[in-house]
Order: sequence, then structure tokens, then C-alpha cells
Amino acid sequence: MNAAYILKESFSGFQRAKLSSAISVATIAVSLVLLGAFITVTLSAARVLEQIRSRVEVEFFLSDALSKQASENLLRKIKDDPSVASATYISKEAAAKIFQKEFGEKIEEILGTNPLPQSIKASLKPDYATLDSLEQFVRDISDYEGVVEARYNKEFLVNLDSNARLLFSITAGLGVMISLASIALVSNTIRLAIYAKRDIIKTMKLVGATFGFIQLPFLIEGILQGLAGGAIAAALMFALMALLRNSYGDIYDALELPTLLLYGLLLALGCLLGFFGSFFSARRFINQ
Amino acid sequence: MISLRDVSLQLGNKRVLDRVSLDVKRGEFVYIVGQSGAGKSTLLKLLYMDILPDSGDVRVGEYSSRSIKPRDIPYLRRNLGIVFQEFRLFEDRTVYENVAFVLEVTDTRPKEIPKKVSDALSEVGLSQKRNELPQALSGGEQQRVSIARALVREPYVLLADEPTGNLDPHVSIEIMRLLRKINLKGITVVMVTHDYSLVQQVPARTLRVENGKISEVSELSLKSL
Repeated sequence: MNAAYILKESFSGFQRAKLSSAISVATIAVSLVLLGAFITVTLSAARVLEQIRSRVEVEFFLSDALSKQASENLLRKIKDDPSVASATYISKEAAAKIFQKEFGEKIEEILGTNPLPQSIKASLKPDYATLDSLEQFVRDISDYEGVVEARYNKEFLVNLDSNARLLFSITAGLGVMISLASIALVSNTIRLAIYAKRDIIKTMKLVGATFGFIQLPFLIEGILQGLAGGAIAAALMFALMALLRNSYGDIYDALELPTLLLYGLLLALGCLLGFFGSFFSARRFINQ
Repeated sequence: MISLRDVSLQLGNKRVLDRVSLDVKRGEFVYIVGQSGAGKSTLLKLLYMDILPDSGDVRVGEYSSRSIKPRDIPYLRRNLGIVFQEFRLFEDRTVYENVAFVLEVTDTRPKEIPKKVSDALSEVGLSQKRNELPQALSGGEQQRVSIARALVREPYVLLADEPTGNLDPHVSIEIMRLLRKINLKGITVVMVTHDYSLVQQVPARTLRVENGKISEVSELSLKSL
């Protein structure tokens, strides 16, 4: 196989069809910027959701009869649970101090005694801060002796779960739509570019070039166009972030900032879009 | 070299060939004549297996339409040179590049390409025009470039589909002389034409395609056409 010819043809494709190559590169770049912006917004939304979930707490009220030693054993068991991020023991005295801090009066002075129970407050890891996991956790802990009651904001969790599901459905739907639109757009643009070269394909077939040989320069050209489109998309994303940082600081602070991984992903997706766009379009003309 | 056995082909509602048999020997020069739409070009397409017959067998060298696999078709075509009425040259490539293209895409060693291209261009008398673009050439010269392109792989068969169709009569004669010269070197030439005067001026075995059948045209009946 004449590798020098294939490489020469792959690169000269840009030169010979400047306009259609430029349109292909621009289409890939625009598609990838859309996809990159979408990924950034989705990751940011996921981060906000995770922050909210990390605030989910459950408080177990313990019987007054439970000894300090038994309470500490229970605290250890709760801390060892894989769903727990942190847990604190609150004694009756500590509970009275919290009451005083919040209401400005000592509870013993109002009621003559301290009825507040000792308790353990547990924060859950974000991955476990769903209604199902939390309820299972509560059931497990409530089985221990001396656990009288568990309190958590069920309504908040129900809303959080339902909003998370909605967000996931919308982002998944949008993601699929943007991806399909990108593939269709890039594929059609490349198809038009290859259509412009149908005479070359026809002549290659007539003079005895194999299908693989005919297709290879188009595939390499597609990958090069994808790489160029990906690089432009990465540069545009970088510029977009700089613009947000300088002009819209609040939005910028709320975003999960693109990492090197995202920029690398744009380059890789560009190559894939270019490769598959060329593969299917060239194959169609070659098989005609 | 070339043989058709009971070949039938239907395209749409039209029976293009109906149980046709034919033999062309190595080194022969054969004209295919007939009315427009009679199936002359289709017959050539069967020879380079752009289309395959509905029934019967087309044999070109060692390749048979009955057993050829799609992946073998490029290798069949490497043994054929094909020339078209409309030249089909790449406008953005020089004469040299147009001819070299055939070798570049068919596994020829890069070192061998310049000599082979020079020989082919010399064969058609265009060595001086190697760096010209096709639009700078006359119609006759462009057709000679396409003949050089067809010859550069040293094929054993040259298929020419109306090669003089776009040319003036005196240029057509030049092209015919060139094809005859190529034929005298042992290359089988199958040429489709509807130009009977050309056939009369440069006579050779002539086959007529008509109503799905192929018949030999004698020299005598050729004069009356």
C-alpha cells in the first residue's frame, strides 16, 4: 500500500476542497462546543445536587436509660456504616445547651427538669442521601436497643429525589438529542464534502483501487478535520470560560469548571465524529 | 481473452441483452456499434464488471462473472484500461499527476512511477505537456491523456466508450490511429462507437448491438451503413 500517497491525499484534501473542509471543521467545532457546554452545565447541576445531598441528616433519639458506654458503642456502629459521612453524639446536657442557644432560656428553668433526650446526629454520604437508602439505614439503626425515634426531613428528600430524577431525564434527553444532532450534522456535512469528490472515487474504482485504499484517505482526512474541529471547540470553551470569569463571576463560580479531561474529550470526540462521518459517507459512495 | 456465454441482462423494463454469446481473441480490435440506448456501453460495463449479468457468464482473462467476488473486481480492472468519451480527467491535477494517479492507487512502487508515466505520455505523444493542467489542452490532447492513463498499467485489454464522441473528425482519426498503434502492440481493444464513418475509415471486426442481440457486421454491409 502506497502510504506516502495516502498521507499526501489525506492532507491535500484540505487544500483541494478548502471550503467544504472548512465547513466540516466548523460544524464539528460548533457541535462540540454545544456538547462541551452541555457537559459543563450538567456536571455543575450534579455538583449542586451533591452539595444538597451532603446536607441530609438524620437524628436518632436515645432512651435516657441507655448508658453512656452503650451510647458510645452505638455511635461507633453508626460511624462504621458505609452510608455515613459523619456522626456526633449529643448528650442530654449538650441538648439543653443547644436549646438555650436557640431559645435564649434554660429548659430546666422553664420545666424544672431537662426532658431533652440524648441523641446521635448522622450526616449521610451524598450517594446514600436518597429516600430508599436513608429509610433502610434508619430501619437498621432503629433495631438497636435504646433507639427510641429517628427524625429526618422526609418531604425534603422526596422532593430532592423527584427533582434529581427530572434533572437526570432532561439532561439525558438533551444529551442524546445534542449527540444525535451533532452526528447527523457532521455526517451530512462530510457527506457533502465527499460528494464533491465523487469523481475521484469513481475513477479510483475504475482503475482498480481497492475499497480500503479508496476509503483510507477519506478516513484520515475525517480524523484530521475532527482533530481540528475538536481543537477549535476546546479553544472556544476556554475563551467562553474566560469571558464568564471576567464578566459573569456569579455564573462562573457556580460552574463545575472544564478540566483538561473535558478538553481532551472534545479532541477525542472530534476525531470520532470525523472518523465515523467519513466512514459512513465514503462507504456509501464507494458502494454505489 | 473475452467471452460471453448466453448472457442476459434486464435493466428496468428493458431487455438489454438476450442470451448473447461472443468471443474476442487476444490482440483483436473490435468495434461495438448500434443505436443510442441499444446497450453498447452496458456491454462494456459487463466487461469491467460494473454490472453483472442476470444469467450466463462473462469471462475476461481469468475472471468470470459467475465466481468473481466484489473484492476481486479491483484486480480485474487493473488488467483493463478504460477510456471514456468525456475524458474524466481531474481538472486540478497536471497531466503527469492524472496519469500517475492510476499507479499511486494500485500498489505500484513509488520508485517505478515516474518512468512508467513518462513512457505512457511518450506513447501518446504528450511528453511536453506533462506539467499542463487539462483545461490548457485541446479535446484531442485530453483524450490522449486519458488513453495514457488507461495504458500506464500495461493492460491486456483497452475498453473505449465513444472515445471520439467529443472530438472533431480529424482529431478522431488521430485518436483512432493511436488506438490502432496500441492494438498492434498486442493489446486487445474493444471500442464502442456510433460513428460509422470512422469504422469505415479504420476498418476492423465490427459487432452490432440491436434488440438485445449481438451480430457480426460484414465489411460489405458496413459500407452500406
